[in-house]
Amino acid sequence: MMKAYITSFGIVSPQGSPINDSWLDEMILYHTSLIRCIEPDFKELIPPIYLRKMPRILKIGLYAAMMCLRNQTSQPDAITTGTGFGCLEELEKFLAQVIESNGKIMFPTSFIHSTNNLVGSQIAMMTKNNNYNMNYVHRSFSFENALTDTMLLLEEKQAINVLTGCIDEITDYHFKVYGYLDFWKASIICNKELYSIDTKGTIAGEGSAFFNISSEYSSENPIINGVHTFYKPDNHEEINQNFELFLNSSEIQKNKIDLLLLGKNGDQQFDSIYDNFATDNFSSNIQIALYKKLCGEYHTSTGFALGVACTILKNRKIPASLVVSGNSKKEIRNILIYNQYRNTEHSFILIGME
Amino acid sequence: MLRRVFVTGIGIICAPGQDVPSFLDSLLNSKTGIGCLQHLDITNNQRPFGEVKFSNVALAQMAGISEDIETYSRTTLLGIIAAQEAFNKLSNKNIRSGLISATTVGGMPLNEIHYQEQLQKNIHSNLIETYDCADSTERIADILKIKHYLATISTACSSSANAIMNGARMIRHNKLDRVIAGGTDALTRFTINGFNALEILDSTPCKPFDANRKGLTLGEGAAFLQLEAEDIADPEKILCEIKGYGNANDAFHTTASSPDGNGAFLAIKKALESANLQPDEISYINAHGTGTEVNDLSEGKAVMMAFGAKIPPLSSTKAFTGHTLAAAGAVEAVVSILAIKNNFIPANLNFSERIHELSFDPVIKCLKNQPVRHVMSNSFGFGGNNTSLIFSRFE
Repeated sequence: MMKAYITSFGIVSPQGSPINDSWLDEMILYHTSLIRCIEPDFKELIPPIYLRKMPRILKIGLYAAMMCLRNQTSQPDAITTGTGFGCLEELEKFLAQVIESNGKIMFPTSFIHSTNNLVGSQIAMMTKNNNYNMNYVHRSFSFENALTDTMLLLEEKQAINVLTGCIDEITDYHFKVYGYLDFWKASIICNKELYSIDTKGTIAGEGSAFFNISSEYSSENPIINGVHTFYKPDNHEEINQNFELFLNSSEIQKNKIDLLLLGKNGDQQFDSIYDNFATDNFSSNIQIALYKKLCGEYHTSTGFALGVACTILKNRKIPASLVVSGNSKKEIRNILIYNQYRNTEHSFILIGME
Repeated sequence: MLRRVFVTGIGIICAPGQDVPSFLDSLLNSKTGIGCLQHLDITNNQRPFGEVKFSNVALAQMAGISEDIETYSRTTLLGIIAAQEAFNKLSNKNIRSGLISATTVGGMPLNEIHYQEQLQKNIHSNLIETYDCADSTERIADILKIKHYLATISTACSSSANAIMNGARMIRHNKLDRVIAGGTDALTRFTINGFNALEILDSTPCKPFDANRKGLTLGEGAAFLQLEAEDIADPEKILCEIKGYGNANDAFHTTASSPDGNGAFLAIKKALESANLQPDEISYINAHGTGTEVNDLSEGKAVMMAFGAKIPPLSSTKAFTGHTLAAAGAVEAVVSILAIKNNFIPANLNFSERIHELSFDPVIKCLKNQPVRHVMSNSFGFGGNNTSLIFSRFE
């Protein structure tokens, strides 16, 4: 497996943005089952002339991308993005117009802004980047699809530096209709308590994360040692088999993994999958941290998780906001991110320091 | 070691054909599929469309779906039909299979019907999860029993060309052995109103590359290719080789291509380089050619820049199919492969007068008994996402 180095990252999330190393030290609390991004001062990184007409998802995505690009000396050789649901707010706006207009001529702005590749293509436009540009829209594989593409571009030597990112937004309509399916906690809880109430549902979230990923060797940057996705496993043995396969291809031994960063979301229907995975594959004192109480559940939350992992590896400590179980004395060099969405899309990402 | 990538199966459903044989017949006989809307309920539908000539109930039957038909969007049904035609059952379980599909509208056909009611109350809970883009991909994967790798691409009108390119890249670099790659998009009120608001819909069937072109004609459909690595492909089944691909971004405007066709030129150039071919080795260009003022001029200039004085026979087949958006790249990949297998170049329908800035006319009559060795297929999308693919005769 190709080694890829994360040379910078940018995030907009319900926990804010990584403006300094201590950005996750204090957990921002929410007493609601829908948590939204803390919006930064967008004009710090996006020219005001563009900002005026931008839909919210684009502002959030562009800010994260620009945060990632600001200290880069050269243009990325490729841009790959992922979004589970795309530009929901603009799509809903245009849909409402279509239904109300009854065939009359409308304004195309929301239609244009509802295009799924909006964020990646606007980054290209704003930075005048003519290179490879790709966008994935596959539920909880979206970010992993983009990351897989990036690793392949590096392996093909089509690129040395790739800007890879993800973005998803939550809207009231979306929250409402998925609420019909009992996707969200019925009672209002604090995100800090997400794992202590054993009921159905989770909390909805959103966010954007961008990474500059390079094939150039650097000892001080986190390395992506592998990405693996698999779909609808029949049982937990199949999950374990996929993990074995993944480890073999990544050349990282299981006992080198110091921390599991898991996508548990407090939904009693699916969280046991993570427990079984940890018990089947690791000793009982393995350190485990859970990230979705920080960002909520959304399809590209693994982008946020990768940012959390980078923060941990760079600071050489786990931020206070993350619950950790297991033996916390050990230094953290390798982190496994494992996420699954309703037992359908499963993914592993291995990230570590040399 | 890099592996060669072969196409060993194709499947299609679009306005001028419900499967590969009927589509080939339409291409050879210059029969368009563009006509009046029959199956989509929309006010103000005087315009022509490339609508697939079956109701959802009929499509479900063709797809072999008998339960919960109402939960399958038209996008999904079209996708299942085309993917099944392209797919050959596998007995070897050690083969790593993937499905890379593409869509822009996804589950919109159902979403736009139920949106309003759903704002009020929960009456369609069995549909809610079908509104996104990946629903069609996962339902196709479930039917074909593909589990190893799934991806859905959405880069506007170049989506399925990108799906084919990325399927080929995954095989070439030994990540997968076999990929079903393509795309699917159904006509929706959402897209029709969107393109109408952009004022780029022609009120008559589109006229690609014509001086008096007035815009595009929307269509719908799905097409998939079965891609296989050289070491697993059955030589008897090989239809052609995927020789090259190029992806570039125009970085010019959200919906319009640059006047000089820079992004398109870069994609074409990259594709030629990756195929290791000289421009004069291309036997046929299947152009993106939507019929909009901006696209055809900009694409024409890009072709002139890349091919100089010797421009290969070129045609856009959008006047057969309409613009099938995310499916267009795969639909035209099927055209390209059929051209190679059957030695013909399909006509660019509805052309009468050359664009004065361009130095060439498209092929206006179907050219038969024409040896076709390397075909370039262009797909350009909103956001400046441009992709060019090269399909070559298996030698």
